[in-house]
Order: sequence, then C-alpha cells, then structure tokens
Amino acid sequence: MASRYEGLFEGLVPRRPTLERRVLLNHIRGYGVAVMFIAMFVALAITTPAFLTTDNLRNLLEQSTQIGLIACGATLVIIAGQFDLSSGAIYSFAGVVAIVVAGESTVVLGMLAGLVSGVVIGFANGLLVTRVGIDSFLATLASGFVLVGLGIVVASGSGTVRTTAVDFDLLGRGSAFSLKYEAYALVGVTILAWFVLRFTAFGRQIYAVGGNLEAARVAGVKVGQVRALTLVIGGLTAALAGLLQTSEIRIAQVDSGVSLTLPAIAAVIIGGTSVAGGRGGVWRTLIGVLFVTMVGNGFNLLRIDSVYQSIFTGGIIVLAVGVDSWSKLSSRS
Amino acid sequence: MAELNVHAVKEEVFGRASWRWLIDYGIVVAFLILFTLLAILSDVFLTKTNLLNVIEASAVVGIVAVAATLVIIAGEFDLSVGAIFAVAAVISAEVAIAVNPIAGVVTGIAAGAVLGACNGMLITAGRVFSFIATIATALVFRGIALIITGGHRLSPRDEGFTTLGRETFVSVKYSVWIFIGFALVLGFVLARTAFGRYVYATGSNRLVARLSGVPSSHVRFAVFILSGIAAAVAGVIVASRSGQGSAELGLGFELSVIAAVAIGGTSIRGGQGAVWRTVIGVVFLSLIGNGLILAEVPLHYRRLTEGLIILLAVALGRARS
Repeated sequence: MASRYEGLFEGLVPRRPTLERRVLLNHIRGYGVAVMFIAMFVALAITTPAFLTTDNLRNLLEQSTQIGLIACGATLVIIAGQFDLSSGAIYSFAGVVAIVVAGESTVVLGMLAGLVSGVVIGFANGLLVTRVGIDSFLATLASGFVLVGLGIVVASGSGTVRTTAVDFDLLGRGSAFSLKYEAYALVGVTILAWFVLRFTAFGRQIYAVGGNLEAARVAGVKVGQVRALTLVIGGLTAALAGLLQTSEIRIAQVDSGVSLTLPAIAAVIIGGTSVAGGRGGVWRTLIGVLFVTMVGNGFNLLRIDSVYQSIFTGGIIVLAVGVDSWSKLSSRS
Repeated sequence: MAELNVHAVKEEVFGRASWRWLIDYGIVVAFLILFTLLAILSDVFLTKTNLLNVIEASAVVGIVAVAATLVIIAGEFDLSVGAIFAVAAVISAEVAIAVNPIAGVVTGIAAGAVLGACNGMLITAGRVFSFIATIATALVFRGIALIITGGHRLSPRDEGFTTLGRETFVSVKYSVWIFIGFALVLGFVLARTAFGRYVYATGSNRLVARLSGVPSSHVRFAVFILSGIAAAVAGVIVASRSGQGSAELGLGFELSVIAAVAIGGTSIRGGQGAVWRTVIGVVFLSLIGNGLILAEVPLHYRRLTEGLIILLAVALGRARS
C-alpha cells in the first residue's frame, strides 16, 4: 500500500485501552468518589480531633442540604440526558413566592405556593423542551432569566423580600432528635429518588431515555413524558431547597440561588453520574455533595485558608470528569 | 420516513424560500422593527448620546460574546469567562498598584490568554467535555482571584488606571472601539480565512473534519485562548471603569454571554452561526433595555420583559436547526 496514507488515521480513533485498563477505569469512575470520600473521612478523623464529633458530623449534613437537594433533582435530569440551568433561579423564586404569599395569607399556604411554583416552572421547562423542541440547556438558561425577572415582579420591584410572619422559620430552624428538619429532607428525598431510579419502571425509563433517546422511543417509552417529568422533579427539589433556606433566614433574594446551579451540577458529576446521560445514581450524588462539604469542613478544621477550597474542589471535578470521559472512550471502542 | 413527510408539508404550506429566509434572518427583522419603532415613538432615541449609550452598554458583553461565538461554532462551551474576567480585573489592579497601569493591562490580558490555554489543554489533550471542564476551571480561576485579593477590593491610586474604562477617542469610549475591533477582526477571521472554515468544520462534525485534514484539536485549543483573551480584555475594562478589582466581578457573566450568542441565531450545537449575528444579538439586548427605559416601563418589569424576549428568540432560533 502507498505509504502516503500511512499514519492518516493515527490519533483519529482513540487508541483502545487493554481490557484490564478499561475495567480499571470503569471501576475508578464507579467507585472513585466513594474511595476518595472514605480516605478523606479517615484522614480527617485521624488528624483533627474536632472532626469525628456528633456536632461536626451534624453540621456536615446540615450544610449539605441546599446543594444536596438541588443536586438530587439534577441527577434525574442529567441521567435523562438533559441539563437544568434554571434550578438556582427556581430556588430563589420559590422563596420569594413563599414570603409574598405568606404575607397575604398564611405561612402554610405560602410554603405550599413555593413548592407549587417549583412544580409549575419545572412543567413549563418540560413543555419548552418536549413540545417547543428547544434544547434543555438553552430552554432552562432562558427560563432562568425569565424567573429572575418574574421574581422581581412578584416582589413588587425590590430584589429582596423579608417576612416577620410568626412560625415562618419553623421549617428551617426546627429540629427533631437534635437534627434539623432540612437534614431529614435531604435524606428522605435521596432515598425516595434512589427508590424511584432503582425499583420503578419510570426509573428504568429515565436511564433508557438518557442512554439512547431513539432506542427508547422505538422501544415504546414515552420519551417526552419522561424528560418533562424529570424536569418537574428537578423544579420541585430546587424549590424545596429554596424554601428551607428562606424559612431559616426569613429573607429571599431574587437571584441568590443563581450561583448554586453550576455547583449542583458539579456535585452530580463528582459523584460519577455521566454528563452524557444514561449512567449514574442518586447515592453517588449524595456522596459527591457530602465530599464537597467535607472538603470545606476539613479546610476549616485544619485552618487552611478557605480560598484554596474552591481550587481544590475544581481540581477534583476535573479529575472526576476526566475519568468519566476516558472510561467512556474505552467502552465505546 | 415520517420526518420527510413533515418537511414536505412544511415546504408546501410556507413555500421553502420565504420560510427559510424569515427564520434565518429573524433576528435582523426583529432588530430593524424594534429600531424603527423606537425611532418613531421616542424623540430622544435617535440622539447621538442615546445611541452611544446603547452601544456602550453592549460593549463589555459584546467583546466576550464575539469570541464565544467562535467557541460555540467550534462545538464547545466556555463557562469560565466570568472567572477569567475576575482574574484579569484583579491582576490588572494589583499590577497597577505595584508597577503601573499599562503593565497592569498587559499582564491582565496575558493572564487571560494563559487561563484560556489551560482550558484548551484540558479539553483537547485531557479529552474532558468542555461544558463541565470549564465549570471546574471557573472554580479554580475564581479561587486564584480570591487568593490575589485576599477578599479585599483593590483600588489603584494611579489616575491612569481609569483611562481605559472612562476616556474617549473621537468622543466614543475606548471600550466601544475595542468591541468594534474584536467584531471586525474575528468576523473576518471566521468568514474569510482557512482558520474560520476549520472552526465551522470542527463544530459540525469533528470526526469528518479530522478525516479531511482539519487540525481540529488545534482549532479548539485556539478558540479557548481567544475566549480567554476576550474575557480578560472585558475584565480589565470593567476594572478600569469602576477603578477597582474584586474577585466577585463577573458572577453569572457566562450565561449572559451564551444568551447573547444564541439570540443572534448561532446554533449552540455548533457548526452554524456568524459573528455579525452575535453583534446584532448583543446590540438587540441593549436596545431592549434602552427601549424599556425610554418607554418608561416600570423598573420591575424590565428584567421580566428581557427574559421573555430571550426565551422567544431562543424558541424561534430552534427552528433553524
């Protein structure tokens, strides 16, 4: 053969790793975060006496709830092969709605209104994606902008609303068995989402839609419904997170949650759920979130300047995503 | 097969040429309508001061969005522009304090190029999906900005520091000239050079592009450097305009940039789009803001109206792909 074609294809098709390496990469993707989590946990437990105390562990769980709840919904959305960039805006909007409605009527109605707003927005996102046919990435990017504007209108012009309603902070400050309600909310939602993903037909459909949309459609899965429903769940968990936070501090700000969107997605990825959809799990996300919180916690306990924390977290994400994409390259070839 | 029939029906109903034309140039039509409407309805709109305001308001986002157009056409995302923006602002202020403002501007922009190269390395050599890789690097970059400032605002005393952001040349602000420069150069590069064609080829089908001899890894690497430089230039301008650098600058900036590019009609799936579209998209957004002020729309409806128009533009844009 003519030598001019020699090397033309080199590097085009990723070189196929050996079977052992592929298995190894898949294991790292699968359990890497769990191993890192345990290693970090043990290291902190040995080096800092303040770490393994009930108070500190409780703090750890309670500090994870905001990102954790958003990330829990985001996990289903991402497994279904989509992104929700409006989750931070929903978080803030639900808080604004809750305070405004609570001011007009009762606290309970306010909280309900906040939750319902999350569901309605999630549904609207679902319609934009499935009926109008906009990419979920762009649709939720745009609906996030709309929500911040809508929040300002609901708050009648100001960016911040406060409430002095009696008992408004019951949900956010209350605790049972010396653990805040929000921690129970995180654990409860995680277990529920895990159950749905693992044991129900809907859960398997989520994996199917994210793994291969066309194949799922041909196999008779109502792909539109599944995708829309995951966005509704994403809206609901984001709203719940926003409500718990608003209830605790009695203040809601129309754009306070916007900076939570990307970290929540990052936590899902750190856990090992694939950004391409079709692979992942909720327990992974919980570990991812706890890991990130633990990094912050450890940095505080070891008195390392907190500015290094975001650099460290960023590095971990790069590593996690790197392993994800390398393991995918190897399983495709 | 069903798909084909739908297209056939569409063509019959709307007539292929006119339908395509309206979709392709929808943003231009919308822009012209809005412009004419404002010119007729408001006495103030067509004044030099007001038009300059419109352009000035779009310059900073515009500079970054023009570069982001190349990134998006090449099939990638850069979500770290807000963080690079902050790093450049902070470094330019720091160096302006330590040395002088000109050195500050130069090092700020150089830092942007270096950070852009880091993104490029990670995405090409590291084979990491750019959407997530740049979320991660954004965390790292903002951490760097925080370390430099130590959480404070840096305010250089040297008067020269504010020249770039506040002074004018031929009665037009420097930032506007820089925006025009970026748009012309990158517009030319994208539309008229081999590199530009490589960008389109890489974004529409990377494997086919590589088989045809396009150095797609180099192309992707290059667009991230361009994006880093543009974000840094914007950051340096804003630091100079406000007279200070802080690590919190540019939070959420990346999403506004992507929205501006998408409104212009560049496909976020890559392979399609143009720099002039982004310029129109950015100015269109600024025109809406301006129109809402001139029409004396209550302040609290402005963000909502802007959001709804972005949503509408995005919904219309998907018909293109």
